[in-house]
Amino acid sequence: MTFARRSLPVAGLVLGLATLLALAALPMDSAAQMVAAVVLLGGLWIAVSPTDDEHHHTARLIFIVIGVLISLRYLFWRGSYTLYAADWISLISVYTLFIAELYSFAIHALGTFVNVRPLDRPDLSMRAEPADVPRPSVDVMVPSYNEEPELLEITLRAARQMRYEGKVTVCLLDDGGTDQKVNDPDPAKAAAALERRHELMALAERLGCRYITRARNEHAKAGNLNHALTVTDSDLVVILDADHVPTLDFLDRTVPWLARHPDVFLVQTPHFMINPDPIDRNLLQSFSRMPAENDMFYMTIQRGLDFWSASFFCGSAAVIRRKHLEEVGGLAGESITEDAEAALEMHSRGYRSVYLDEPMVAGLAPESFTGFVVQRMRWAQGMTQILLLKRPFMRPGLTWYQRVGYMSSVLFWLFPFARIIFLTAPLAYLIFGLEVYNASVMEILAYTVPHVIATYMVSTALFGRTRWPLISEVYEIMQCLFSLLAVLKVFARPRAPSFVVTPKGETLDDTFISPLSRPFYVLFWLAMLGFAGGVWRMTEYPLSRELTLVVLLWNIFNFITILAALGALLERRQRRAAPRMPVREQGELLLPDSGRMPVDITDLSAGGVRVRLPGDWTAPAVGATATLSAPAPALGRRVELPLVVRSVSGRAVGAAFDLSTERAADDAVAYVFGDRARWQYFQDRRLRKMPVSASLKLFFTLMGAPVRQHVRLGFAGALRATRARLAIVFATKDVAS
Amino acid sequence: MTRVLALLLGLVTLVAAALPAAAEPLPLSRFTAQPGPLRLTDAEKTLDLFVPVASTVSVTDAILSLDYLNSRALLAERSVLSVRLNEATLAQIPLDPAQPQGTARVRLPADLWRAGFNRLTLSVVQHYTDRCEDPEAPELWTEIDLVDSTLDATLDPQDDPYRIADLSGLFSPGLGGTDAVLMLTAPAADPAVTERALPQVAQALALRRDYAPLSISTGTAQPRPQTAEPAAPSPEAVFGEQPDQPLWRYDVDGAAVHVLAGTTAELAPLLADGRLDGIDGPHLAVDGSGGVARLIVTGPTPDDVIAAARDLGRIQDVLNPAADVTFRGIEGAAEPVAPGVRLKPEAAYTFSVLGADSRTFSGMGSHGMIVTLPVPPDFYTYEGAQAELLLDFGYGAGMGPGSIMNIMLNGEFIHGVVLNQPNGTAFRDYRISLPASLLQRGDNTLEFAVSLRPPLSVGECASVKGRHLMAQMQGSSTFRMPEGGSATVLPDLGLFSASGYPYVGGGEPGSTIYIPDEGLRGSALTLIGKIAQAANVPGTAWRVETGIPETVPGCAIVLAPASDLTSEIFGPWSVALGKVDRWPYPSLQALRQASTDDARSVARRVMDLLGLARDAEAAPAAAAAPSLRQEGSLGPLGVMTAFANPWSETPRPLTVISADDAATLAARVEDLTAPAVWGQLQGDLAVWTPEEDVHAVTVSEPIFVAEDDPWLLLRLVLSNNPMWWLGAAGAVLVLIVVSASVLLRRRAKRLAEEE
Repeated sequence: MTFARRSLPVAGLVLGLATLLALAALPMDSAAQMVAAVVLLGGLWIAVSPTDDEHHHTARLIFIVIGVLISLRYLFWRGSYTLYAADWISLISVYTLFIAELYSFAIHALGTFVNVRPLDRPDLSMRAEPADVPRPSVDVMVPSYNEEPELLEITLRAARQMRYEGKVTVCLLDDGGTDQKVNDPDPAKAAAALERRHELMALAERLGCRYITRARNEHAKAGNLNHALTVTDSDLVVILDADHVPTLDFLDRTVPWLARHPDVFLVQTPHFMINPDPIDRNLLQSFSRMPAENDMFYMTIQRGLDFWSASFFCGSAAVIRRKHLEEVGGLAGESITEDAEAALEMHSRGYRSVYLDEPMVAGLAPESFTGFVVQRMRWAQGMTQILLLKRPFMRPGLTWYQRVGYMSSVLFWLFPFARIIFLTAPLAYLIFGLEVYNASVMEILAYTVPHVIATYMVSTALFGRTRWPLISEVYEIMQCLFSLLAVLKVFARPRAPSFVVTPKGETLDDTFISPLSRPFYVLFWLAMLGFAGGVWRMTEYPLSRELTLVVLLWNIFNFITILAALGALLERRQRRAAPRMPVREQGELLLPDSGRMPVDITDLSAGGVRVRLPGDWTAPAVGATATLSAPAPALGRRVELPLVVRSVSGRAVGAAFDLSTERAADDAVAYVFGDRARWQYFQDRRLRKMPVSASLKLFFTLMGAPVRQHVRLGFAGALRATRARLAIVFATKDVAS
Repeated sequence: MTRVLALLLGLVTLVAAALPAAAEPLPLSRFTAQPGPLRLTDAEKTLDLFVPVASTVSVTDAILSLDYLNSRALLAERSVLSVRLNEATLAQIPLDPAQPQGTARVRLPADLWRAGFNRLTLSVVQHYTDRCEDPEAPELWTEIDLVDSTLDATLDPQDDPYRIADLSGLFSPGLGGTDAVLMLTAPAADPAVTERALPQVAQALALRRDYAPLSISTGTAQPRPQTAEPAAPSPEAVFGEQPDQPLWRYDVDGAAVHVLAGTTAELAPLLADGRLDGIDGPHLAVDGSGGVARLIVTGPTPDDVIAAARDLGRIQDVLNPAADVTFRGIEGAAEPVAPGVRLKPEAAYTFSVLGADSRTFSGMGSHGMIVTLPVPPDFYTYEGAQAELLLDFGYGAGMGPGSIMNIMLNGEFIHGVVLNQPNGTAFRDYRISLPASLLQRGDNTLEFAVSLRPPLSVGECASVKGRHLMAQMQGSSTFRMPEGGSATVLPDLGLFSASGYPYVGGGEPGSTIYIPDEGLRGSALTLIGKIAQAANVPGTAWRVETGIPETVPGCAIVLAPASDLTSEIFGPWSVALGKVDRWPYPSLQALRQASTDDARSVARRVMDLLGLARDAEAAPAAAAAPSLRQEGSLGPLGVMTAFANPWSETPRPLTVISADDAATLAARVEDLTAPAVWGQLQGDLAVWTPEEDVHAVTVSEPIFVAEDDPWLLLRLVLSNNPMWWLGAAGAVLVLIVVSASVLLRRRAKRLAEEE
């Protein structure tokens, strides 16, 4: 009876899925298919509507199944009736496009499976744990390679102030001052490395942290951490990137999971970015209004993976059990995404991971598009290495759903192939006349359009709160050209890639066009050529006019995303190294002459604060000193932070913290970065769904500016180059005369 | 003296009956498919009309009467309308701007006429100025009224005894061919002869008339007592070469051409002594002369008679110069199918096989070539399927601007080629893909419209005549059918009229027409002949049975006046004819206007499938739809209705053709087989009047038929019933969601326990 009860749902599911496949394959004419699609889309719309709070599990299942059915029908139809061509080149194009579609559907299906029921973990606190529960010792490891000491100081100060009843040691792992670097054949480099070593040693000593370096820079960050493991002995290891500043309760909320469950090897938390990534900053400028690019991964996908015990280590903002880590030989592995690889190894040994969806580490996104691309190329290469070298799909020790989870995470990074095919397929037809998509408009309306709508609706229902429509397309297009080459290199030589540190905390003195723009110009002109080809085809080939129209619409969509990409390639000026976080809090400004002035705190950064004065108070003069008094719930008291006024604009006053005392510096870091609730509030405020119409409107409003600025900057660049040439010419003449 | 007078009177009557074409002038519109008046534009223009003449007659005289109207801008001395017959110029009619309208009578000499097709050419050469003329100026036109212009031919039947080879001439659709035949059987003839042999004969003779109707009547040949001198003029007295061996000894009711069918034993009393001696197998014989003819279909047994009738449809007349032939069986396939009758899916056919040999287009102007693509009536495929044209064509040097070749399928433009290579060029396998959706079931017209223009020449009044212009379309060009199979939705009277489907070509072992009594056998045979013409191939197993059974099996037609019909025949369907008629409301309303699936837009079709269509014209009524019962009369109307046969084990249609009484029904069947009515059949209910007004509508539930292809049948059924698929999808959805919910809940519970 028990066996029957356990097996019945499995049998029902298997039978249902088999029947679903059969239904998807049944043939129908377009008109009937359109009827079926309209009804299914209606059902999908009804099922999607109540799913905003993610807890209508049945509704989620319904829309996922309907969406999969619509997409499967489309793919069966594509595979059965449209894959033919008159010549080999066209045939290759036809199949290439179809493979890209299959890939996209596979990623979509894997994504829907992973996110069928994102897991919400309960809040735990070490303070609430019984006294007999042991408090494991913790080593907080902050690996560094070339980051500025000021950046590291903030992270170390925050780490040092984390509340925890057990033993905590904060370690600065300096890979910029290794023996190898200090003894570099280049005297200048050697001197710089030595200077860095001394500076960081002094910093560590001043902050009560342990400075660790090593003989050689082997295996980059992973090697650095592995070396640290050999010279430390705590039960747990917290890994924080140099720019990842933890909140004060980080250990309090993460360690209970490891203290309670000896089979848990990892507690991962989100990487909460306090500055916009370059695409957001350059193009969208919606940092405080729109979910960040990584919110979809950290706020949705990792929770989904957690339900299937497949959430993985993301390199930072996580606590790892030393014993398990050492069991798999530390972090060093065969890939340059050693974090995910180590998690895979530990999952394979039956250990569990926990993902806590609470922003407890504030970090920095790359400032420049180049930095962004470097980071994404490393991820793409590393994940491809895992696919080729670790083969998650046949990894012993993993459950089937963990394999699915890992494949979902790994296969995603092959998107450059599909994205480039989707970009070029309409051009192949419009410019070269390759019939890459053999279908009538009626069929497109009956099969393709419902598939696109269903995919969009399901994606929006699953990820809409953390990723707005069309945003993914822009991000993928921005990365695809570079990631494709990177991934191809991995396919050619899977063990060749080496770790490249993501540049962070850069400042950009002028607005300029990213040096990586050239391929996007090519795409821009190809899309324009596609339009011309489309118009020509409309007039010359009346029989295929409807298909041409559809392909033109496809090209328009691509063109919009290319324009958006061009917009994102305009690197805007960014002079402030410490990013400001908008806040809405109250405080008091203590002025030597005016007493306590209630103020609204409007933004905070590591170095200062901006406040808005009430109307009946006189603004202090620039250069005046003051003290900001504000409640700091994370510290459980008010902080009193000395300030120097730097700017006054109307009622807005900008001031820098006076961090001349250790106490002030600690309080400033604890106040600015220590409060998890502030990050949570900020993040929650951005979470909302955006209708596709609004998203399109946003894009259309952004379309004009990129072209104008590219022309302007391009013209200015050409002018500068001409002037420079002329100057050289005249200078040469002067010398000659 | 009285006997001689009566003899002459009889002769005149017979000849008049034999030569209906000579009875009154024929409008020229009969010889062309072009609607409306003929407009001859440009400086030179020619129209060819092809006038067929039966091989069994000779034209002794013909008068062509031309009603024309020409432009007032023409130059009288240089504008002329020429009439030619078989390339011989017979008249030059001046086109005078002072007298722009006129009627010209032209005698077409007997010696220029020949058996078969005769080319009657109407050609204009017209000018509006003496120099620097634009040859395409709008002032250059002459119009000929093809309805009022007539051909009045006097025909003389051949005197030589008829042979089997003359059957094509006797039943020719051209001048001199008969459009009516009497079929006689012996008294107490074997039922197999009347039920099965006569339908085969009817089809064989109707097919010789191409698409021209053949009216068939039936009767029993009653032997007349032999007298030394006939009391009344009789054919044997008129045409008998040997008075003691008369051609026939029974009354033919004035018919010029008749068929006598039966076993040798049955027919022996009706024929001259020894006429049937020695016949030991299926046998055909033709005798008579001078426009009066008899076809004997006989054999020792009824099966031999049936075989002879069937072979009548297989033989090639021209290969049988004898008057008699006895068939000795078929070698090879038992039932050979005429090659190229219908195209097969995925098969490739050269234009030559399709009847279009290599063609050369010469000289300036517009040229055309038509290739007929006979697509099977039940051909069915998916929308994305592609047909393929691989053209072998070329053109010569010296083409000027405007030289193009447009390709159209069923009047829809599909491809164009500019002929602009200075030195000309030739293509092999020039590939054009055609969406299968452009193909219609039945005959499709693939048209190549070629326009050849000379190069522009510089200088005042300079011109190039363009006689050097030349393009060729090779017969080796290929048409490849798209993949597909046999499946269709029935009933469909449009499909039936276009192809005879499903009664011919539907894979049926045999089809039957039920008639209440012998009086309608001729009408049934007329209908069978028409169906064979529509299918362009005879049905192999037609039966005509008397008596309307209580249950009608298989694929059948009931031909009966309303008084002989019972409501049981119509089953639960919303239309019933009889003493009390039953009409569905929608059809009553919809009779105002014909409506078919083909005419419906995609949106309309989607609405239909969703069940959202509101107006009765588009939405098929359910079988049990409310209907109006009424007692009255059909008056002069003929009614044809098809629906799912309630007694058939497999989904097959039953067609009922009815009228108020037997005489009216016979007349309406004659009307039905006329092109004007037959071509308008659509839907599943058609009503027509003596004035040939047709109202057709779809009111019944569809039935789905597919031959040997369950996948296609499934596609067809689901395409017409997407809600079935949706129902299954709903059930699967529930199963998956319930199962997955249980499993996910279990996992969530386990995770919670682990926490």
